Amino acid sequence: MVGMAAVALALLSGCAATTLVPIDHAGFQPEPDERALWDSAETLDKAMAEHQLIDDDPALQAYLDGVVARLTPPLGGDLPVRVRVLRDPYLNAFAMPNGSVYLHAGLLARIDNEAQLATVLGHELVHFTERHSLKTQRTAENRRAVMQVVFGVLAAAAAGASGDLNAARLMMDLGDAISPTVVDAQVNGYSRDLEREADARGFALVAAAGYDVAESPKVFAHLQQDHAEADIEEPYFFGSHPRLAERIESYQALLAARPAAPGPAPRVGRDELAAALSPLLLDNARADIRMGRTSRALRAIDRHLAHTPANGRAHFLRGEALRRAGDADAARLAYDRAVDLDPGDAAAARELGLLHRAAGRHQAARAAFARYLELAPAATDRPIIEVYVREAEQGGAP
Amino acid sequence: MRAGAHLAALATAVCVVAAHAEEFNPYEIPERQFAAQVRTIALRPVGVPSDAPDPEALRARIEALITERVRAKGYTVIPSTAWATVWRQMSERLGGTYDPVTGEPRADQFKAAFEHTTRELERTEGVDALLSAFISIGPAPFGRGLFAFSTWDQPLQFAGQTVGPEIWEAPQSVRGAYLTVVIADLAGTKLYGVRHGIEWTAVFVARGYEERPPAQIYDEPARIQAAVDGDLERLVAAGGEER
Repeated sequence: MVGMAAVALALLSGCAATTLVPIDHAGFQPEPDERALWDSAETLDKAMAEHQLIDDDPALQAYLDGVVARLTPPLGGDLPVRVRVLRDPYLNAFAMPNGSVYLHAGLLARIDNEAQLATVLGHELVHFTERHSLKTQRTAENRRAVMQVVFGVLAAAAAGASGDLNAARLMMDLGDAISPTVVDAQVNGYSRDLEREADARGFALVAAAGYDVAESPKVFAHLQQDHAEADIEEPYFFGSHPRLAERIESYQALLAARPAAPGPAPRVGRDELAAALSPLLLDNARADIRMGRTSRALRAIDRHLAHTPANGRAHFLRGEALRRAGDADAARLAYDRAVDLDPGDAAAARELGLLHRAAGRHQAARAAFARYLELAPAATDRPIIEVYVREAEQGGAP
Repeated sequence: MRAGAHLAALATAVCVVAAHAEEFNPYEIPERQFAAQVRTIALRPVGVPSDAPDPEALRARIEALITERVRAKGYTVIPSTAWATVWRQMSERLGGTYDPVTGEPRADQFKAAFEHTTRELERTEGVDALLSAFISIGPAPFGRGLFAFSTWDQPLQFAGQTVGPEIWEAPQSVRGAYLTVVIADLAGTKLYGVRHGIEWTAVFVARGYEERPPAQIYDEPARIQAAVDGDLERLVAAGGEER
């Protein structure tokens, strides 16, 4: 009798996992086992904020909130969703069970327009409203084995950010304080069926919001191409070649099955996204340079400069990326431009001095170093630069 | 039965070692990008334990092995004396990288000395990467059992003796000396990093650790060579990117 009751309970539990009602209003109350997932997500939310991993650009935040507002009416509109940008150069986006949606700066920096952004957000919103974390939690089998693999991936990602705190390192530090389901979803995504559900429902949201759905498969193709060109192992779902291939196939099928819709031209939003992302592109380029990913950094800086051509800081970073890539001549031109635009940029003056010195242009080196010392009289390396100035005055370094 | 148990333990250990070796990729960037980016490598002085019987000889032996292998792959190798000379010069100009009173590191001066040393070696020697090698002590795993065989990354070896009931109380690791090799670009971004075991520094005997004297750890040339070869295996692999 007891055995039969246990079987019945197990069956009920199985049914519960497959018959969850979607989250469609702000007052939604999670089930007891779901509450643990929400608590875990809130722990991670808090840690991300405390460690200043969240981008605090209010204009970008307002822009993202606006895109979410366009997407959510079919889901009920009144949803406890909070979209945030993580200062992290890896390609990823994820929704947590409590409605927190995170976009990594690395992913945002590679999106071309608002329709593509809406595609990623639509996909993630569906993971939240359809309670995919809870479904995964209730059906997952060997969480321990899965987590050993996941933590191996996270360890690689934590090491890859060149000493900076990133999302992977934070999750490793938090350890058991976060549910394995929450961590695993960020790294590996969900089951193939749940991902396809997020594709289909998310695609419908993008279409209903008036976006150009032809852009939907392009965002994943774009990421896949970027991934192939960079030839860098990325740790997360949106950096995984097979997972991106699945998304492309899935969205192309959805696009092909969609009847032609008459009416006004759908929204693409290229300029709007470019304006909103302009500051983020530079921040993320700086992180890419630190990781040695100079070609990615240069692409982002050039996108920024296309929108804001007279930003001296962007030209300085361009110089840094070019110098790290081994192109000293192009780097010098970029630093020159940075100094032209911002005569008070001490770092650019110093880099110019070092490049001139390396090339044996003593007078130019002397002038640049003198400018650096004038702009940064208390610089730590002043004694070294003073030696370089004297060398230049005497006709060059030994 | 006993021979069978030995074989099973051996097979398990070999499988663990093999699986570990297959999974680990020391490159932090794609291998072909590394090959395109790195041509001239400056060595930094090898970090060795102060209690090694002859630290200078150990340092020289490791540097010679590294130089021979890296050079054979076609890289230009700049000896650590070049780094040491420039570093000393920069450090002196900055008034030292350690506080003379407290002995604490002076982070800003250290950063500036590092940056200007790399830039100077780039200018004078065409250096585009730095190789740092150092010995450190860390946990070294081994399998629990009647014969505590290593599942470490050195050749299979006996790590301790556990007989009687304490067999189930034995720890899953002892301590070992590792040789770590890190190759970084001039901004300090790690491009390649790996460590390989040299020798146990403490073995588990009965219910406690028995420390080994340093002479037993660092005076065996074959072990030093095995650690260097292990660390540089992927860098100098025959099938890898040729210079």
